Amino acid sequence: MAAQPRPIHAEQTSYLEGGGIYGWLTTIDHKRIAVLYGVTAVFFMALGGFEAMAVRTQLMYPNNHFLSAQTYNQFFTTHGLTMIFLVIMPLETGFFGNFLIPLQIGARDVAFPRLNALSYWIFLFGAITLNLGWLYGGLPNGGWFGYANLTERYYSPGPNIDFFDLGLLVLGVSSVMSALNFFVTIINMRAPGMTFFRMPLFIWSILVTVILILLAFPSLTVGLIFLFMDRYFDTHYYRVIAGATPILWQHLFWIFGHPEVYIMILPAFGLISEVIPVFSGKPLFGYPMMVYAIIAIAFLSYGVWGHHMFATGMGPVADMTFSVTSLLIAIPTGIKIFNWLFTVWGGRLRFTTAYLFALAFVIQFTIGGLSGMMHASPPIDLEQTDSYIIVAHFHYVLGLGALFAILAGFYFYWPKVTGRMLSETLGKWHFWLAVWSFNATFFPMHFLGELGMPRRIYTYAPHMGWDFWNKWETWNAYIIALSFIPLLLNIYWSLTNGERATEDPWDARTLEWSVPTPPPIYNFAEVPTVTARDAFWVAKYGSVEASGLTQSAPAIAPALVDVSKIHIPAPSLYPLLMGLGIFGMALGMLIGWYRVIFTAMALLVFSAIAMAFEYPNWGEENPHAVAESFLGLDSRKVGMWSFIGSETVFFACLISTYMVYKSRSLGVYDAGILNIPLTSFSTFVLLTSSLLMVLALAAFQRDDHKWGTIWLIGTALFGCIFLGGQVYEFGDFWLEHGMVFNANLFSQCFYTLVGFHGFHVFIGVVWLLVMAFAGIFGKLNAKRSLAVEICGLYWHFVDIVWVVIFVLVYLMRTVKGA
Amino acid sequence: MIWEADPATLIVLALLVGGYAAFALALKRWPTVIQLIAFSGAILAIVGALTGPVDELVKQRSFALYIFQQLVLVFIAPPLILAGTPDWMARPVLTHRLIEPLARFLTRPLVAYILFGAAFALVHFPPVCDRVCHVHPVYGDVDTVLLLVGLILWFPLLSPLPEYPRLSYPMQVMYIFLLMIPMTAVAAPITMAQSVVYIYYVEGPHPFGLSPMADQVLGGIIMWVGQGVYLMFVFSAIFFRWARREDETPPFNRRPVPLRPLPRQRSHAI
Amino acid sequence: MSESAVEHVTAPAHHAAAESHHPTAVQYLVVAGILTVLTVCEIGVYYIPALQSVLVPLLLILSAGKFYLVAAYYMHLHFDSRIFSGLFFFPLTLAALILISLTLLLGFLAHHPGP
Repeated sequence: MAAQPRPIHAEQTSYLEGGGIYGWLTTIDHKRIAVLYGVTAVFFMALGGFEAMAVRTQLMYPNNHFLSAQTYNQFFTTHGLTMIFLVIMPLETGFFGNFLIPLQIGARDVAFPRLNALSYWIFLFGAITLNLGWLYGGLPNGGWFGYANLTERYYSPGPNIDFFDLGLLVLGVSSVMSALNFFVTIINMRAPGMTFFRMPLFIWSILVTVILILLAFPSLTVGLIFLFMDRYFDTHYYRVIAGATPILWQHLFWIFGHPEVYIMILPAFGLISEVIPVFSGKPLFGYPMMVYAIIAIAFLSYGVWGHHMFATGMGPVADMTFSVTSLLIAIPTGIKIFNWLFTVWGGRLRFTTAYLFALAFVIQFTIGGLSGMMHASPPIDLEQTDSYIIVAHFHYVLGLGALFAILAGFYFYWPKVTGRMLSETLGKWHFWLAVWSFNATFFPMHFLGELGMPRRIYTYAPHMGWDFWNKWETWNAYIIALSFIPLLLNIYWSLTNGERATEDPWDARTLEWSVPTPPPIYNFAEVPTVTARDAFWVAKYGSVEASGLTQSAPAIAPALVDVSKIHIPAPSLYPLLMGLGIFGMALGMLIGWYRVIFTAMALLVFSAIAMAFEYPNWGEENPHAVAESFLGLDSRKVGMWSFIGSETVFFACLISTYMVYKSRSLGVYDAGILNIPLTSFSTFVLLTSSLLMVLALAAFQRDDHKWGTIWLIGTALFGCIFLGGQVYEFGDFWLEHGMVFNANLFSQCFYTLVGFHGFHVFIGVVWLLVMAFAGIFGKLNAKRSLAVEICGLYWHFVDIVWVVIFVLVYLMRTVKGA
Repeated sequence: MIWEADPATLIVLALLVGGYAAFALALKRWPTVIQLIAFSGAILAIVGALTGPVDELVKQRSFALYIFQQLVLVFIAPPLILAGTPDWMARPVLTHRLIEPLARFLTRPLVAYILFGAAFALVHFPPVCDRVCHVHPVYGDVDTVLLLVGLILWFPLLSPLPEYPRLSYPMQVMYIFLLMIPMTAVAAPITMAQSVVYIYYVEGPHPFGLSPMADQVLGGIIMWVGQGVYLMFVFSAIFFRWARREDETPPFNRRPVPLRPLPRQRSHAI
Repeated sequence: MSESAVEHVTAPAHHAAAESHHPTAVQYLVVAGILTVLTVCEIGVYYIPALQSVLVPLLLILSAGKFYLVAAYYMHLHFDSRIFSGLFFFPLTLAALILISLTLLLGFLAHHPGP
């Protein structure tokens, strides 16, 4: 079972060389994974762009029938989903994040390289799931927000929404995994001396972005799980007839959806903050203010989701609250805009293509931000909602905002990624065509909105005053497509004839420019010690404020280290196999072929176990990981705690749904059915199991592996007793009282909430048994007690969740919902 | 109008001022000007909010001003008192061998937080409030309780004693964020309630010509928005102190150094 | 894996500082005792009719105590690096705020649109 470890020793000079196709499929190098993300996202950008062109062509003339109405709905929906989940997010966090995080913080890779590869493969298969409609049944067609209850099976019988539901679930798994990975990397893997306030601003923006991902995606996951149950198990989460409210979906979706907006724009801010100082020849103005602004934006972004829902009638108090918090976001955003302008002010400017795109970003994003502020006011929003003004707004912040930032980053980092320079002439052509065409397409949408053109309409009658601008926009949209031709030519020219890039072609400021171009597989021959912000600039010129005219020290001293001694984890095929397993499960669910589901599940479990045993020492590939980490903490433990943090939000969404729906439930079953004596017993069982767990840990820590193993088995046993109690309880409700899963709102929420907790207990029991197994074979000792500790953290978290459920669900069963 | 005050409030004020003066006289030391200003600020805030015309209006059932009083007691007065207390004044008390174990326990961040959250929520829980809050003379004692839990709440952020270290800056931010739970949990339901929730306030009309219902919404909003904005300011202040601290941390090495051949050093700062 | 020994400064002291001071078995037993007592109180409160009017706050306080004990002692947040406390309590706060606002927005306002 256990594949022999194959530690590669770094002979190659560039990460791009060697390995062949199999090398790319099994790669766990963050730079190669970044390239995979980049290539995939560019492919989907072409696809999403094609959909946009088709949509624009349809809207060119009144009463046009270029597309059928059904195809039109599918195209505009998939265009949005593709651009958000398959283009902007993977380019920003997947491509730039993967490539730059280790290089900018002075690490050799991310914290969990195999998890990183797994994230990519799951992303790829999620993207394919979302686009399966090209082959069969039709693309998602409910808008990117998929408002309930139009997404119910009754209103949308085809598989379109299933692709949406399962595709986003799979993509969510991938996003949360990579966010967890990046979070631990940034927290724990920084080079010595790289304190928080010495980190490049891109790292700050990614750090805050991944926190947003970790804490926002669980809400979407819960919403999607409910939708899944409604569509596959005939529950009533969004059905008014059962007392439910479709507004629940909107809340769950926008609790995720508004942070998602910042998940897409904060990395763009970060990229811009890297590009502007380099080409302005000045350090970033007001660095602490910039960091403060990022944190404040992220913080506020959780309190503003309601501004997407003014039209649902939440009442004056809620409207006012959301309006005030939304307007407050303008303050930190304004801080950022002014700090960029002050960075440019008085600098020695070099108008490269990257710089032009960055400057255009600042201007265009400001336009988009201003129209956003208008929507924060409920009375104005009520007029503008669902009109083309909204379309103009989000294309200004995402298309002319995030995409321009990505292009700036692209021109900036291309030499580092490929080792070749791009042509500036073709770059300028691209820039001017893009600035003209994007603005010409999207600015008039403001006028169309004011003239009353609703968004998402299939076609429109003539003489509404909309004819001219629609025709104008469509022609300019074609120019957008055209504007990418210089870019493609440029890429081709660069890869074939481009000038070789030096390490530091732009005279840049941060660590990634101090390594050879393209970087070697181990990134840093010797991990640098950071003494200041803009570490590389300081190394070159002596201080952050130095003008950059006289170099005071050789930037890169010749490597004296024997690079063949650097430990690099071996490539692994299992991430790809696990990705295939998850894909197979989604596919099996879609075609309703249970054999496929179980085969895929078997593949998933097999790969997970094989991956755990792939390296000796239980994945402790690098025995010095803790000593080398920034905080002196084990990355796995930091990762476990971050995962637990993410899970709290997941359970909060489940619990609040239960509490709300308990009081709205119709029909005979209610919380009166709950059996307090039985669950009191279960509570004691679970508390006791937690006690045994800590005793096991204490035993292993004093190297007493016999008692440690006994306590572990005891914990698993008590876990089984708890599960047995739950099975009895469910069976009693189901068989004796006839309370089937979808009997009413109470039954489905209860089974879902308590069932998900039980599922966590089940996973915990399996984990405990694996640990006990290892204990029996003497694989656990004081040195490896951390493995027990991490398992214990998960187990106690499950216990804590039960403490909350026991009180809120069981003991407060008679209390009327809020 | 006669400037009136509750006996309980007067006792608290007398204890604060008397204790402060007694310590200064007994130890024969004088607080710095900033400390004096902070402490008198706290006293003035309590006097302004809990006595005289404001208190008179509260007695005429102004719910909004009642909430304002409470915010002063938990958010304004305690930080000022702590900032105004010199370390030599706190040391004899807090390092006393009988008091220290209790003080150490109470000022643990989570204990302080849970204590404050529980007290604040209980005081506003309608069944409790109806029985306790507006029944003289207990009324004044509720204020004292709030001041006390407020002091404990702010202690981990503003401890005057190095023996009781303050939280690190990132943890201070976390602490402030955590504080939003009890505040929102109390303020939001009051603001959004569909009827007057406290028996004492059912009777109308209230001062400023407000109906009981409007007064309640106003009070709720004062608590909700007030704490949000206030905590946002506190967060900003902590953040910039943190940033400045890190900026001032001297670099390992002032000399321009090539990135590569450097001695390994490890920083614990985050 | 011995050949993979990267040059590094071993920092055993610092490693120990981050991971040591776990509670002893006796402390664990004491915590378990308190948890049991708190749970008995919870169930007791549920069955005592006189306490029905303050059932909700009492239960919340008791369960918060249990929550704290498990997190602080069993998950040793009390003894570990403060960073872990942050990693746990920050999301927890957010989760609590989401819970409060969702119950209010959906449970309450959905029935009674505004004053």
